[in-house]
Amino acid sequence: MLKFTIRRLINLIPVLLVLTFGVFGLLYLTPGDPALMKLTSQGTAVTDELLAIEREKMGLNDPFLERYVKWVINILRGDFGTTYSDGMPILPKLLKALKYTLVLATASTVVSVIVAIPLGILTAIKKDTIIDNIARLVTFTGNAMPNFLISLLLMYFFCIKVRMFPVIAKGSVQGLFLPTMALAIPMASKFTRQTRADVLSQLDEEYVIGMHARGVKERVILYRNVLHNALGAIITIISLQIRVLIGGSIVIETIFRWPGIGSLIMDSISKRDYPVVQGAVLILATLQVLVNLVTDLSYCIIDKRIELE
Amino acid sequence: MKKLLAVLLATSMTATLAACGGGSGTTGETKPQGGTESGTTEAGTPVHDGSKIFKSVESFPYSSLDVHKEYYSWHTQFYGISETLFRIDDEMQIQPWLAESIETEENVSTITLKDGVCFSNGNALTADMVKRNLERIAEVNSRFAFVNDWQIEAKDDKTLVITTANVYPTLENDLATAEFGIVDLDATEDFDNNPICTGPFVVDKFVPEGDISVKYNENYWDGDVQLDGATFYYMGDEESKLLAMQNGEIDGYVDISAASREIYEMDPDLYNITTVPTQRRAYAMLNADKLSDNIREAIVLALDKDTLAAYMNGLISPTEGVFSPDTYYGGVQAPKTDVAKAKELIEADGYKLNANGIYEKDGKPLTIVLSCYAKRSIDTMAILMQEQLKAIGIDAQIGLEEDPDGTYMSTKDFQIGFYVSITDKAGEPFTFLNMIEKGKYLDICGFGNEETDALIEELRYETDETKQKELADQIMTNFYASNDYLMIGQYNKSSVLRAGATGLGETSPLQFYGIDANTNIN
Repeated sequence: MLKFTIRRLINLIPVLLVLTFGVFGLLYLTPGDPALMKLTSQGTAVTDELLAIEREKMGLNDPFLERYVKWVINILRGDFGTTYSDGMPILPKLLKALKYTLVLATASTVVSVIVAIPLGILTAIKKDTIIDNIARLVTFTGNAMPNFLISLLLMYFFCIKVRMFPVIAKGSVQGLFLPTMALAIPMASKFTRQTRADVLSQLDEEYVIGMHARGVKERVILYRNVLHNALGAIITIISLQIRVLIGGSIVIETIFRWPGIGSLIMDSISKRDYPVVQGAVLILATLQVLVNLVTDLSYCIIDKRIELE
Repeated sequence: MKKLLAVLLATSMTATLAACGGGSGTTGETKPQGGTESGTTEAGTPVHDGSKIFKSVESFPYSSLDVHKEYYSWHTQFYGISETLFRIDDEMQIQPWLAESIETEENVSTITLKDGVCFSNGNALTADMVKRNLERIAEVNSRFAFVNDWQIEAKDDKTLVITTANVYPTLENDLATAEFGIVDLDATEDFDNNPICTGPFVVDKFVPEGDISVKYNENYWDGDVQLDGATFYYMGDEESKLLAMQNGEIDGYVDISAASREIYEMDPDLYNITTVPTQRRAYAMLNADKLSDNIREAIVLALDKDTLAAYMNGLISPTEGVFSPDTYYGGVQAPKTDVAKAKELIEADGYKLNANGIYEKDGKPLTIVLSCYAKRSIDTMAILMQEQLKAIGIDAQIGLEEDPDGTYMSTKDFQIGFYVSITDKAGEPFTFLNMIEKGKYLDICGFGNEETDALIEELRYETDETKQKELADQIMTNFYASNDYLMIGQYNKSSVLRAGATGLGETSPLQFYGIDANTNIN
């Protein structure tokens, strides 16, 4: 497993190089002038002379490859550079935003898993009962509702009607509750439906019928065998969801004033702040690959029959 | 399609929330919590017991409070932290602020500072400190590198002499822009987080790209500060602002959306809405290389700006000119809408209406592409213009770009291109006119010409207001006669304040005036 892990980490290097080159190239080709955007961000017009000076100062006149190579070398030295828009160091900005994103991603995933797996199992074993029907309706609705609608409804209910939280939440735990719920509701709905489907398919397997015939206890069948065998598919969907969450949720971050990486990237793209976008993509891509790696390793841990290639 | 759906959903959501708020009595029942009435002494001096905190929101994240860098001073001045030598009043007139007066002879201006002005740490404001501030602006802000060309001399503690290479009629105007805020350069240790300035408020807590709290300046030089402090929460989402306002968590904010405005208007006892036109204008450039003179004139005459502005629901006001007609340099405005004449002009170009109601010539319909982008609702204005042009027989198509500067503005490959900019930065016409001279950034539809350029250059050095007016009138007559530019609308600044709260710069057409010593909440 260690060998596999090291090999995957080494494979990360060319992946990141190709990826950064691609992102660098795409941003280079994107219409828009960072110097102009910086100078006219409040709508005041600028002269061509000033624009030319600013472009030179920002290194925008250098050839594409020179800029790319310079950037990669600096990254290898741990220097992500400074932003075009405000001249501040990029790395602290990225790490701060990433911290917020990871906190929110972790909290919402934990809440979703805690709710969804037991509910998924329950609805599977109570298939076609009133509990199953209600849970299916709720999860269908949760899955179908757009994020902004869930967010605003949560805010309206908890902040205006019940007055449990202020709209402008201060403090990390208080501020974390509503965005976590907003992300967890659709996610838990997906997980519940996936768990239900996987458990149901396992319950139809012959080994379950055999265990029932041998008089094995229902709980043992369910938790030691059925759930264990269904875990692979559940982990896959959780892993996919985590990868989405790591990229940040701009809607949730904006509505709940959560300063995550999604808003930072969007803001930087709109300002043509290439160094920030490039740094963010590099970090996010690394995290995505690491999540993939952990997912692969977890398959191996839960099912010894799976071999790591 | 996605965008349309999003707009529909957002509108319905806002309407639902409004209905919920109104129906359940939430808005009516909720007592705003933004601040409690704080006492005053018998002499009327405010008692600062820490309870009078004005709460508002900030829509854009920014990472520094350095008054001289980038556009950060637009925030520091809005929060009452920094002040400038001169200020621009609600009528766009220049008034002394930290300066007592300015006397100009040719290219030499003598500025006298007010007595008793001090920084929040109690240090007196001196002419030498102002001189060093001007030098720092030139050094750290590339937009103000031109200050390097000034010779600045502190004659004594209160007198500053600025000598410019040529006559400089807009010196006061320049010094009234927020970037010229004055900082105690010797005492300030952290320019990014805690600049020491002369304003009625000082930084209490600042989170870069987050919230900011300010508290009243105990040493404020210009009278009592009514508030104990203020907090501005970073909040980009309009619906969240609406909910925070309805929940009584904030006292007011500027730039309310049209949807929120409708909700606030339902409860006039609780919310006061103020709308003032700003100097930011939406306009279209009509490319002389792609459209004939008659067609351009027809388009200019065809647009009904009143109808367009009415549809935009308070976001813009109709405008006929680059400058407000209330200013001395805004006397000449564009011609009014005249659909009949517009049609005549098109027909004079050999076009005839076909069975579909579209003009055509040699079997080809009169098709014009409106290049636009989505920011500041420009795309909506383009759609409205498209409808109006279609109504008179022009087959207008929308060409939506993400960024005008990187596309049609730089390639000049457009027929009609939309753009937005501040056309009157500081109560003077030159800054905008300078941009339309031949070869300059906004001269992309063939307007720049020697005759007008000569007038603009004359205006650059003209100090006499009457002569300035004459020159501005001549330039603007040429400008409108060219039919190269079509003014569409003037953006409004709409603010909401809960009843009892006053003073968020709501009457100023400029974005960088916000709370001051007189801002109050009851």
